[in-house]
Amino acid sequence: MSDLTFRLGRREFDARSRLVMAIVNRTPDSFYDKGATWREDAAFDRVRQVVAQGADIVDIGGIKAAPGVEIGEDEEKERVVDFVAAVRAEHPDLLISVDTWRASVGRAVLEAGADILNDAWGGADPELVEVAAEFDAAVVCTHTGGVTPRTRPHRIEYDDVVASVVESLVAQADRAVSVGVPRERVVIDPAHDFGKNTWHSVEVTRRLDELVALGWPLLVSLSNKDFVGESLDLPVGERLTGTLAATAISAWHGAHIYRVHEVVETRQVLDMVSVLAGDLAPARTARGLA
Amino acid sequence: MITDVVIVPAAPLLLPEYQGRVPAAPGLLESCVAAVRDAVATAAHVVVVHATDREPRSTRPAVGLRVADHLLASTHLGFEVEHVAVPWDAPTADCVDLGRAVATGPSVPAGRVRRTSAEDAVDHHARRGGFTSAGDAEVPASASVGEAKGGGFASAGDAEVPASASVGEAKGGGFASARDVMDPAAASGAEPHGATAASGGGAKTPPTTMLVVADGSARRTEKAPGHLDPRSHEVDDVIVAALRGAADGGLDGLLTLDTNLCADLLVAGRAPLQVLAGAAGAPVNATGGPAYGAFEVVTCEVSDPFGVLYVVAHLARTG
Repeated sequence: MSDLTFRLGRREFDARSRLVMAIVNRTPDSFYDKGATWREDAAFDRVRQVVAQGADIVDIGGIKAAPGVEIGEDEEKERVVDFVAAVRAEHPDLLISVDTWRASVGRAVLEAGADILNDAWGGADPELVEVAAEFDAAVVCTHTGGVTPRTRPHRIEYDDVVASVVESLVAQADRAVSVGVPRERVVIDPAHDFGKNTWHSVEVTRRLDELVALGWPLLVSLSNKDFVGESLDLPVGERLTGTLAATAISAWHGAHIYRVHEVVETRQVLDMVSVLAGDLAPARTARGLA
Repeated sequence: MITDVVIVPAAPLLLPEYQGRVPAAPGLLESCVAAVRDAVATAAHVVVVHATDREPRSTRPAVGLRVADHLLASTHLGFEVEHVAVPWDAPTADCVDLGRAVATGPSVPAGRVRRTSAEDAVDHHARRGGFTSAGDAEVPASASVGEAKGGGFASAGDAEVPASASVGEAKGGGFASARDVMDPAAASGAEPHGATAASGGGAKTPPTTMLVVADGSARRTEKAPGHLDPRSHEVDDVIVAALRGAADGGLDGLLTLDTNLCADLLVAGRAPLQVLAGAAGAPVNATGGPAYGAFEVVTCEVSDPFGVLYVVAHLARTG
């Protein structure tokens, strides 16, 4: 058992932790929910729901990952900053992450009470981690293969995708620490589908233990993604089972944080894997013991 | 002299190593610990009566013994502990003899029961085995089976012990270091409390609490471990009525339990309960007569959350 310890907000976790990060989109056009939480009251309801369902973290995003209408800095702030402040007020102990690549947006949400900056575009703005350091916030480093934010991978090849992931993530994590982010607040994420075709994402999943072995807390974002859809030839809306299978394998490999749309199902899978791995006692045992 | 009797189920789910994140039977463990604590509060000496496992497949001590030690350790009180194993299918007459021997003598006849006392607490063979098989024609067949398994455990020597001992330790004081846990007074060189009182009054034995690890049928419902056998309720009613009628000689009712029927109904506690009946009916001192009618029922809680009859009862001698 690794002696890994990591900290998010005021909470501390160890290598056996398996945390659910619930996606809350402040967008009208994200691929999965298609604007379901674009209205502010719907977004608040979503936060309340995922908290009740056992989410440890919410990840609030103001810009969808896929290409689309350009959203400027000010509009991104309008979508997320006040919302973060309101969520913080309503849920003092909830861990709040914001999905952004912009340092200016990062600063504004940390001032509003966020705990984590999810740098989903792999350090596109190098100042983002410096802002995280300034606020003693956690940061998620991601591997994108160096692509520009909001672009799809096209004909990208790697000699060894995992080697590329390792090199990029270690470099970003080391840099985050070097600019002052506490080591136990640096999270790494191979970023399935980002800068990757399906072959790349499935290889990363299969070899996830190599990333766990790096000794940083590991986040995986698998939920309903194209690599699941292409693996099963299923459209968005029919990828939950495949997502959960990938979740179980990732959990068995030892990933720590799961960024998801479906909290209840993910929580059950993670708890089941934790029990199977011997990291968590069964909830209630009477079979053969009465 | 046996001053108190406490009866608890032999359910493995009471053991810390089998606990889930929430208890399977909420309140059961707490009830057992409370009853045991009450019953041993003034005891210098505790005799644990438990059955051998019906289907032993491991080298661990019997479940009943481990449950008893866990409950005793949970009281955080000090006393000497003696373990008496009775084969789960011992004939009624043997159970009665064993009960009398436990009740009347400071030492049980050699060759019948071996004790786990301060001197031989590391003798796990004594904990495991009940009757010895050598040269005893009365011993039931199952005793030989149990003895063989127990012998395997014993002959494996200390090498076998640490593995289970460490489990017990890790889970917070199970059977492994039971003597240390349960006998802090002796460990520090002090007399167990109650020992002084025990020396007076002409009693042959010090105030003793008998901890009987026993339960009723495991065939009470369709979801029960042994599925439903409608006969189970009648037999369990006999057990409950006997214990509830302890003040009026009711414990004799335990002697009416049929050995074969109880075996069919998976009544794991039949033999220990009949040891209790034998002990309760024994003379209280060298000149005294039977002790019938001398116990009052302090508590008697009955439940069957999993189709197994659980009784948590405390009986206290009144005369």
